[in-house]
Amino acid sequence: MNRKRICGNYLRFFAGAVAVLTAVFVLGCAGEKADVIKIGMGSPLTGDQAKIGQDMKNGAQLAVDDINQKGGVLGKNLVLVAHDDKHEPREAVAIAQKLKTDKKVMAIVGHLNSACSLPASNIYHQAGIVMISPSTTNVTFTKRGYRNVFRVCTNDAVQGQTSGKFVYERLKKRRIATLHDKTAYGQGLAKEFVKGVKDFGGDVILFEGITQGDKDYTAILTKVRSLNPDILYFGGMYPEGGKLAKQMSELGMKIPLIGGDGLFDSEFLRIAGRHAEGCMASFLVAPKEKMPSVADFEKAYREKFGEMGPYSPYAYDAVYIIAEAIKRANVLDRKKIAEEVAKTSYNGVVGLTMFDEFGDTLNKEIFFYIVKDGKFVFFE
Amino acid sequence: MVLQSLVNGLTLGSVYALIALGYTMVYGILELINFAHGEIYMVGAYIGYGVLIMMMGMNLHIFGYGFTLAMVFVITMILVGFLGVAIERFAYRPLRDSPRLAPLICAVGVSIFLQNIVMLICGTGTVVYPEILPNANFAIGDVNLNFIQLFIMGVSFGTMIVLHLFIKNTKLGKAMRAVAQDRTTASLMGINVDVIISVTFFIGSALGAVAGILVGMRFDVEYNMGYLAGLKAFTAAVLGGIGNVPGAMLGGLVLGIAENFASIYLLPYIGLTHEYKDALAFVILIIVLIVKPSGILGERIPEKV
Repeated sequence: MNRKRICGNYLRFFAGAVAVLTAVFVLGCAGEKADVIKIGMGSPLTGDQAKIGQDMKNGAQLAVDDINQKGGVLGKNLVLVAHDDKHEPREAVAIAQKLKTDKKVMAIVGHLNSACSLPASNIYHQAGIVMISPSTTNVTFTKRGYRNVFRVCTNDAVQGQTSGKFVYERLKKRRIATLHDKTAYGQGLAKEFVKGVKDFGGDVILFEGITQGDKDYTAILTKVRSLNPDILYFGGMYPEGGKLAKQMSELGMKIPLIGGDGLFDSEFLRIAGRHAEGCMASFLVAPKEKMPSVADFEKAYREKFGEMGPYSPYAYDAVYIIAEAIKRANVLDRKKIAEEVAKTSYNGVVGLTMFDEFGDTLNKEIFFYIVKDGKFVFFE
Repeated sequence: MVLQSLVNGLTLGSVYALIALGYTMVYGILELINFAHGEIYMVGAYIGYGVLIMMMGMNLHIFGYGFTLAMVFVITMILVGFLGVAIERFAYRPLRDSPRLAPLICAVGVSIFLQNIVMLICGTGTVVYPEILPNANFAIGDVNLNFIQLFIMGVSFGTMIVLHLFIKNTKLGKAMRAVAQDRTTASLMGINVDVIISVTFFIGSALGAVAGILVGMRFDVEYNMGYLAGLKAFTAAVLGGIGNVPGAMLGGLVLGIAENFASIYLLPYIGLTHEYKDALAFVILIIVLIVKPSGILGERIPEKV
């Protein structure tokens, strides 16, 4: 081809590319709805903890839908922007970076795991976005002087030490073995539990970590068994907890297994099967028999999403708290909204939520549940 | 605690042995380390679950759970065996005359492929086998023997004995030994080398599937279970002598026992907690390769004229 032809070809290609890009740009921008208020979220949506992550997202989505149905906030609709952090701290940080640069994101509900919430909160703090976690119980989450970090659930100091008291006084166990999963949450909770037990005079004969993602815990359980404890406490999540329960049965260990809110999910029951019988877990919400708001929420959740997860009600309340705060602030300014959240007094599914100067909720009740006939039942 | 560790170790070790056999047999005839074998084990666990659920759905358990379980094993072994044959046929055979590195990298690729396909199809959640075996515990002194441990050891040892008899006494077994010894001469003797290689892959994969079902029944099934188990079984095969069938069995048992004893006795003495037991397998691998690369029972070295 001669030079003119070649130039002509290039020119045509170039013009075509510009046209396509312009079209994509215009269509893409038109795709974004005019005026919305975005609430960002991070939780594990894939991986071995996907179930509770999805349940948390659904709880928030339910709140968003309810609020939008009643007219939205300041005349605009809420949109939940949920990302998958795979319970990996690195993913959580990446998500935080993404969310903070979106100017329409006014608040964050999340993350789920303490190991994710802690590093992500640094980024949200820098950007001044308010962050309400439905499930992060690690103590240091609210102890770093960040005025924009809150949680609707109580913390592990309360959960662990109350559990320690429970094991010593209610269950009358004296020789206690403790395992944890070496995460910020599991290890933190186990440490607080040990503190609680020791305060009452119990004997902690073992404190060791297991690895998340591992399958065979028979070696460490054999060691636990040989020390003759009265009970085994596990600070960690249900994939490992379920395996522990199963393998304790395999080794003929008759002592009960007790854990924290990380065990309180139907997945624990599924993974451990009938070996879950007699296992106990502490949780932060009263059973629905004692709290009608929980029963109502469960019904509404079931109609849309099926069986609810442990953190669904917390996510629901967190979204409402944010919506109320935005209404009170009356302006879409991240800093003002954070200030309003601090003044929250909200009566929701999990009870009355008010925050102290650190961002912790004043609602600090812990409830204990035991597995009976394949279900978690309130321990009277 | 010693005897209990021994029991745990034998249970774990017999599973390692089954997987290690797959590695060692393939290495024996092709001098290829089939890195995809760990994923074959994982696929076996998933397929076993699927077959079991299907059979329970068809109410076949009226014939007794023993029959159902046996059928699950047989069907899964056949399916996974054919998967192994397919992998050999399409991934490794085209590279049979290439430099040794090519099929090795290809094996890694197959491993990644299998893991991701399973993750896409079955998701990343934990799959739990329905409880079929009685949860019977036998307490003998300090040791607690659970039925599942006896079952695992029984099935593993039974399978390994059958394999040994097969290789030693049948014509097909003799052909496999011949191909492992010298591929070219074996083909001159009238042995169809391609068929024998396929049979070897079939058997190795079937054994991996058995291991997968056993572990699935004892613990549970996750899409990433093949990675670590495959590496440890490979270590076991090297420990016993790669290419050597009894060596793989021995290596597997030794590794299983060593892992259990080390995590309770050895590691605390050098200031490490038991989570480092996984590292033990790799330390053993390094030591074996440095000190005695031919392993405990030695490699089957082809005789050179």
